[in-house]
Amino acid sequence: MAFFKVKDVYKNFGSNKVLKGIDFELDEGQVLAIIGSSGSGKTTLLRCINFLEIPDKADIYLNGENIFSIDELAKADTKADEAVQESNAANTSTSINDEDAAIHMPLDNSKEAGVDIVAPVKDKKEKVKQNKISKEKKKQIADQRLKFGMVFQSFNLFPHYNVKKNLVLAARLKYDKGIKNPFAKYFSKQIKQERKLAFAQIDQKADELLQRVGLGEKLNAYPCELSGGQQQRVAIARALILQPEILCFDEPTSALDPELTREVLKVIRDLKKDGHTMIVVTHEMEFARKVADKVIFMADGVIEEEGSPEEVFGNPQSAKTKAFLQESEKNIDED
Amino acid sequence: MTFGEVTLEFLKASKFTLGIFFLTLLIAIPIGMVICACSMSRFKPLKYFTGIFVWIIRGTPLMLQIIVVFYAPGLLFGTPIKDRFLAALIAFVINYAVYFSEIYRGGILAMPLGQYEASKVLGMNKMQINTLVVFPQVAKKVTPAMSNEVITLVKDTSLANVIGIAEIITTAKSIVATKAIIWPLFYTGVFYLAMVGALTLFFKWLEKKMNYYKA
Repeated sequence: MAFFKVKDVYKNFGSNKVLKGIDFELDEGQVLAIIGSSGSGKTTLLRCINFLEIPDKADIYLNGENIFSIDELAKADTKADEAVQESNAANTSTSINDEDAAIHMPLDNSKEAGVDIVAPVKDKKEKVKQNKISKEKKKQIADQRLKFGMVFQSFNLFPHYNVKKNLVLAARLKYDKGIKNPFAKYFSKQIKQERKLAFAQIDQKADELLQRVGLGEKLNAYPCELSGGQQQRVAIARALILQPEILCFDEPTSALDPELTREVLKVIRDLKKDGHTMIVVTHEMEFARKVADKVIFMADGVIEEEGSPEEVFGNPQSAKTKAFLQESEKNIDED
Repeated sequence: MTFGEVTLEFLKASKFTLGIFFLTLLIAIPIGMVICACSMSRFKPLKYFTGIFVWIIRGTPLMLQIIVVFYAPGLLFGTPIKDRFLAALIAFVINYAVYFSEIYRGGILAMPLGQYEASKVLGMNKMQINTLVVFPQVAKKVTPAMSNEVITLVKDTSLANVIGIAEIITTAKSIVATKAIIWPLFYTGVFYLAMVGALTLFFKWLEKKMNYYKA
């Protein structure tokens, strides 16, 4: 069985079906590039893998273990008997918003309110039921999420912490989570000492990772003092410090100019040499062609074509893929 | 009455002004956080209830609120508030906590979604996200709006004269009435200007201190 396997991913936003059954596999140490035009669902797919969006239906396997399985779609279907199609879709999305809201409350309140206008009041009971399910899943999701690192298009570094703190913060919290008695770290001399030692190791790791992405001297800089490319490299180091099984990139270079893009892509290429398994949503066709072991072309929520870069770029089978690749080449010619 | 005597009277009265000012800040800042949490709660009844409360407090004059707090317990339950200062303080705390809560809410809503997502993928729980990522950034975002509100508070303390607290304006009025001189009333402005000047310098310093990062 493949190292990482994703089966049957479905995701609706309201009545908008964004993912309509995605399956793919990935071997350890491989780099998967997901390409496709805007709105094809590639970012949503990545976010579903990361559980930033909870898919309506999905089976995800890592290392042969089923780490996540959900099928809200089947439940929604049985409900469809009584509810009209439209309200049904809205209801499903409400439950997802709730799931998100449980973790970050403020922004979702508005989202939730927006959905409530669409969702009929009589579905309130259903909502409560679905909430219960997602609460059980919440802890599971939080645990599984750490197996995936995530690098965002807009970096999302913590602006109020310096580079070092950005890196070590999550690792320290993870260590503290492992201490059984949370108060012991203030009282027990032994645990205090162990903690100090562990934190020193984390600091050292952060140092190494920054060297790895070529920013060894920026340890004490604040994100606002760095260029976009440097910020993105810090973000990569930050994702790596938790030693994720799979590192996900959501259009990591879309906010960068070509020169900065190059330095970020070089880091990703180096990571591949280190044997990291990566999934990269990208618009950089050249990068996908040269670095990826496997390319997926998505269109309208389905995988239109997949294969090695040679197959997809050299000999595309589907008409849509051909059109997309031609279009992206045209852009280059016009430049 | 000489200039010196009036100044001395005003300085004595400043004790009430400053007392209301500092105690209001001390109590209203944390209570504002609680109100903010309530108005952003996912528990709908609490959210709506808080919404109505905020509407009432923001929708009525502070002077009226001071009067209500001072007289209502006596009229309704026959247990009048004897301490005028306490009554004024309660009214100020409630009023300012509500305004602060709305400022906090604005700051929290201004947080980019990406900060929450980045925290989540790094394995933080809700509490950690709030205390380590959101609140420190919100503190910086709300400082200019808070300084504005705090400066308003200095001048609003003069409203306490409506229930006869001997703060600066009340003192000036009684001097005007008893000594038949008008200038002390204008002279009060100097005291408010001095206090606001000090606050302005303080907030300038605070904003500078928080400027170690930009975002």
